[in-house]
Amino acid sequence: MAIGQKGDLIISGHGKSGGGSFERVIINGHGVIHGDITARVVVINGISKMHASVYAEEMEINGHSKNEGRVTFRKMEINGKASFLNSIEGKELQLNGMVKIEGDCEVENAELNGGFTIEGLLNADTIAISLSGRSTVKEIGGETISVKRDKQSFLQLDKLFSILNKELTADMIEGDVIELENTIAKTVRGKHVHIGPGCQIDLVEYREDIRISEEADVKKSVKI
Amino acid sequence: MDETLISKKDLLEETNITYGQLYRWKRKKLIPEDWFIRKSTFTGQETFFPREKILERVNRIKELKEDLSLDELANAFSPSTKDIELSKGDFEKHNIVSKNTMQIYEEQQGTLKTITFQTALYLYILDKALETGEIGWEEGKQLTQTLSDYYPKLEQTHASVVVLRKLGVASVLLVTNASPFFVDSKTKVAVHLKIEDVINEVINVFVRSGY
Repeated sequence: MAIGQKGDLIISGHGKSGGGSFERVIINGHGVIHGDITARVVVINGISKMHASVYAEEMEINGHSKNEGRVTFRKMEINGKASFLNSIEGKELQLNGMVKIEGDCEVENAELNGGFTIEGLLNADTIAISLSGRSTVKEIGGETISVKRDKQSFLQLDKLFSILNKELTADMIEGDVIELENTIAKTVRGKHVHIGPGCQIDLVEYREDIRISEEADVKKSVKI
Repeated sequence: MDETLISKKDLLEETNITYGQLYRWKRKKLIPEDWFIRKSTFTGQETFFPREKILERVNRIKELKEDLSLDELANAFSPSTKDIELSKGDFEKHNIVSKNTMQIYEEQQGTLKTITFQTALYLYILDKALETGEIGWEEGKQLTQTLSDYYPKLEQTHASVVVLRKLGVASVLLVTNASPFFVDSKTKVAVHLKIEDVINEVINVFVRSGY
């Protein structure tokens, strides 16, 4: 293997690449990458399709990205729409837009603004979710978990059209400090649990304390 | 699978750890994925763990985390303990494997100068297999060959080494633990070692010897 300065992969317009190891990968326009990619920086402005895995220190998606392989990063920012057919793993994840993850999402800090579908486990130390669309996740696990809806929508249209509903659906949420709003969950387990307005929870198990808003519907809560 | 299980709830209570810690350790792969056993209970989905394994692991993490960072810990628990390398002299000094084992291995793979974790693992497996008295010199070589050819290709550690014997002829298998296996009545399972257990033993030996 040649040792030296790694090059950049820049696709402007419409292009394809077989992958490889780069300093920067920048896609302006439409890019398709067939092989694995290792890069310090990956920026996508436009549309990209990655057929294999991506390993990036910093990754920014402005536009649309479809990733078929595993994605590993230190920091990832998604402004737009992204889908991952596999698990993703990293340190910092910031979402402003929409994301679909068919595997697990394991990061240290997750800040999710917008709508998302995660078919596996969302696992992070701190998870801050601001809902502005319908979101689903199978399981959430972490230390601090907060789910809030963003500000009231225009004319409360979401009450009229269920498709604009801002809610999070989850099978199970487990954490030490949990604060929920507009969440529909089967089981919530935590140390300090705060169930806010708009929640429908089948079972809450808490270790230390619980607060339940008057506008929430909790079928059963048990201290363990 | 008759191991006694412990629920996540009881585990947290018994070991006094938090959800955050448990999930963090899971993320750092300090706790193997297949220890998380999901079961439906009358209160909904619950996660269970193999009781003894998880208690031992959690206690060990708690002990070690005072002087190691989580990432260092992850290295200590993952089988890719690649940094370990010691000289043959040092290795022999600790009597980790018998002289015979060393000899068989060297005859097959050439003389060793230094011993990496991987080599130590092969040696240890070979040693254990020989210790059972079920396999001989030639079969030991067969075992070594199989391990060094195929084990690196196996990405997971949850595998077993099996030596089958039928009518005096031995075959060496390397299988993943995902499913049990069955053999016909004339075939004898001479050796069955879980690599994961062996790895733990090797790590223990190394830790005890101060590496």
